[in-house]
Amino acid sequence: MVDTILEIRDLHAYYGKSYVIQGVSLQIRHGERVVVVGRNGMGKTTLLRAIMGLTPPWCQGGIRFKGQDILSKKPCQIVNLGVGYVPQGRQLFSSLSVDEHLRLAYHPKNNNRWTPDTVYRFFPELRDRKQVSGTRLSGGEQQMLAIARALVTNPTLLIMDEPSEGLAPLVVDRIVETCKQLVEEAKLSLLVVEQNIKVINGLAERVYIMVSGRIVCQVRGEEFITDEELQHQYLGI
Amino acid sequence: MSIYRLYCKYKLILEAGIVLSLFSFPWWMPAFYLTLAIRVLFFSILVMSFTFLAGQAGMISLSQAAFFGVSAYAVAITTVRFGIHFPLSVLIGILAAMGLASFFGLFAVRVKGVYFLMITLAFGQIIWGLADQWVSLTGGYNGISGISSPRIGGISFANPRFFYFPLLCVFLACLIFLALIKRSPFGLALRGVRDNPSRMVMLGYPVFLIKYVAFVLSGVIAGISGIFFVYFTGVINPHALGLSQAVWVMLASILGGVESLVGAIIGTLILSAMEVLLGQIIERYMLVIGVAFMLTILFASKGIMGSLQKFIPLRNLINAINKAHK
Amino acid sequence: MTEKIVLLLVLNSLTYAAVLFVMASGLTLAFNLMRVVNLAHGAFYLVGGYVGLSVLIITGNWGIALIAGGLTMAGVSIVIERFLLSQVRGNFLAQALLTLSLAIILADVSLAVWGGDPISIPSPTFLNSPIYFFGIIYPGFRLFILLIGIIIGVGLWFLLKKTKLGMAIRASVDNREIASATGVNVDRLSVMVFALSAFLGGVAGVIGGSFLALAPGEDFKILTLTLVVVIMGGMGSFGGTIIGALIISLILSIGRLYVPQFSIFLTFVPMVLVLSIWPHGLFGREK
Ligand SMILES: Nc1ncnc2c1ncn2[C@@H]1O[C@H](COP(=O)(O)OP(=O)(O)OP(=O)(O)O)[C@@H](O)[C@H]1O
Ligand SMILES: [Mg+2]
Repeated sequence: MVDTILEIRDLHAYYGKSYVIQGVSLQIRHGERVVVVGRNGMGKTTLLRAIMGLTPPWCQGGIRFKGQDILSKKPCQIVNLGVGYVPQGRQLFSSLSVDEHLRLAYHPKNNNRWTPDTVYRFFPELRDRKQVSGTRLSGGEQQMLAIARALVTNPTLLIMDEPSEGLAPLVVDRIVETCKQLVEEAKLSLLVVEQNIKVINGLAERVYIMVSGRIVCQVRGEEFITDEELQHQYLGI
Repeated sequence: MSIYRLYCKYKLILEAGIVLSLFSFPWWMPAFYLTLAIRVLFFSILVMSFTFLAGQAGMISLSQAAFFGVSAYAVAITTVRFGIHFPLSVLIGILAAMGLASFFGLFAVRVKGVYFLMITLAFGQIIWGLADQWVSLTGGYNGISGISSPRIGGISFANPRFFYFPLLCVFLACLIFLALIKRSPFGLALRGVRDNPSRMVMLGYPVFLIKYVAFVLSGVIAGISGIFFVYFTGVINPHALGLSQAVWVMLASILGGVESLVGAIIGTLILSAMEVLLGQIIERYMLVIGVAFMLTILFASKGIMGSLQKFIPLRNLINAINKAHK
Repeated sequence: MTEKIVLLLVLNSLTYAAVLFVMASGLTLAFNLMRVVNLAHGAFYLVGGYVGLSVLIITGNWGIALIAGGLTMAGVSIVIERFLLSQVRGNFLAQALLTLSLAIILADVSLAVWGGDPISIPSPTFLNSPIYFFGIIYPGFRLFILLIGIIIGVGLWFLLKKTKLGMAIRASVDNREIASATGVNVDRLSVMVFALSAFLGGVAGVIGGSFLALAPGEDFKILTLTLVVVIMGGMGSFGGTIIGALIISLILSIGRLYVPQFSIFLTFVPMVLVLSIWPHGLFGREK
């Protein structure tokens, strides 16, 4: 039990009357890389938002992070507990420069591995563009900044929503490499929502498959990668 | 539900009875209550103009008091300063309200939500500023007094008993007219624009024009109310078109529910009665209005746009009446 | 002769612009972060001015009065935010109407407390001496007001552009949710910004009350002018606030001098001209 960092039990969420998350349960262990896959509109983003406390008006069930109930906590409290969030579509701040993104999000904790400076060493591209507005960057740089913004909060669990969306294949490789490095060197746990098989291939130790607000099955990473039937059915490849 | 059934069953008798008894008022009502009834009638017209715009077009206008005041001032100025009398002065009054609404509408109707609220507030206040500052024409803070009601064929309408009948007729005409508009294709288009403007654009409706016409129309109705006001009270001053008046109108409308014209009348009745009762016992009348307004917003915040008005008195009755007329 | 009049006009309008700017920037601050169109901002001005007056009478110090007027309104606004606005969060129209009801309540309360006669806050004596320059005589105090306006403007710029608090504000304006998911406590930030906005309203009241008068009705008059400024400049834009304040106060000063009976009405002209081209104001955009 001490081993799980995040545990979701029977989570339900609604947008007004539409019932988007219909009883989801999942666990992530320390240092584990978990990927949630599923087609568009299945409720993946909603699931991550619920973890972050960015709940739609209605949300019930159990979400425990390091044994603490975080369902009714505010997003900023959840961040302070050690969850980093990389939202879908980057969602950078147009009126903040790259440097300001990092300084704003910087929160020293958990032996303070990530500071703006260490992040610049990790993503040299960003250092050259310190003063540029976040939304003026290229797609790949934007994604790196979004990851960097989550890293400087010094999380123990990083959750990412479709980090490869809209990026060139080469950049996707880079992102995957980065993520692996993060888990291995910085001992982060990773929860990623993805539809890109390359990312799943590179990252997944375990895969949860989500259909219409439910987790329909859970497989090991290698299984999902080798099982074309499964991929065809749930990713539409 | 039972109120609704009852109401449906006796709808014709009930309503005929109400209208007849309304017409019989002057014969048996004490003067004090007759005066009150007259005030409720002309303010109801003003509140209906707000309710129509807010409920059907989703436009919360703080300019209604300005239209009300402008026509009242126009009548007062033409009568007192230029010696122009009924019916020409009334015509000028209505045209003044219409002109002002047509002008304001050009700008206000292009925005919505809080922007509309802000712009109509600013516009209304600027007209207030004009009334307050243009002393040579408007009499400034003290306003204009001594506007006497018309005298036609030996009947002086200064007598409340005679004043009452034309007012009641116009009141009923406005009510029926707005109710018919609500149910007309125009009313349908208006609600379409309120709920989903982009779809209405795609369907080829002239969205701006629809909103604009509704805005001007409600301005004219507010102006009609102002004419009765100035003839009845005989005075007009900036207070009549100030922000407190605009808020009073809004409060009356929200109390009765913006979806319902009958609600506008009932809201006006409640507020006027409250005014009379409270005016006798406390000095801080605006405080009470403010607190009432605040509570109404807090408890009926969804109600501003329609639903959730269960807290509000007489809501069931108003609903029943509305439903019976569907 | 004409140059002197022009100079006087410009100085008068600049001092008035300072007051309008302080008002409008407060309104803009709250609007940007919380989408609240605070229609009680004029009441904050009036009550802030009255509090300043009372404090001045007790302490005899104009500077303390200025701060007291601002802080009192900041305190009041925190209560308003916590207990009232939070009830209708997300419903922008209800928020605006709620602040309108507060405006009415505050107006009546201040009438009960401070009475209905126009009063002016005595300006600090050491600044009262007239200053001679370019052949005109100008009250030193009004130049001081201009200075305060500029200090507040620069202070706001510094706060927003150079501090971490400013970054948090800008980030929350851009994207409230994501800001909170990067660790910004947006709720607390909102309270702080609303308090700052009210502080500016109260400060404007003490400044304005020192060279204009405080009286019932001044609250809605200044609110109207402030709204005209932000409607013209574009709701939410600080640059628009400055330009709007300058234009409107220039028009007001010219109007006061030549056609006093139309001075308020004249502000209508630039507003309508701007709105006929840009429905959401010079720098505004639809949200
Ligand atoms: N703000 C909202 N209001 C109402 N319904 C919403 C809202 N946001 C999302 N939905 C609905 O909730 C469902 C799940 O949305 P969600 O964004 O979680 O899907 P997703 O799996 O992340 O999709 P994608 O792969 O496209 O990102 C969708 O059907 C969507 O239509
Ligand atoms: Mg998604």
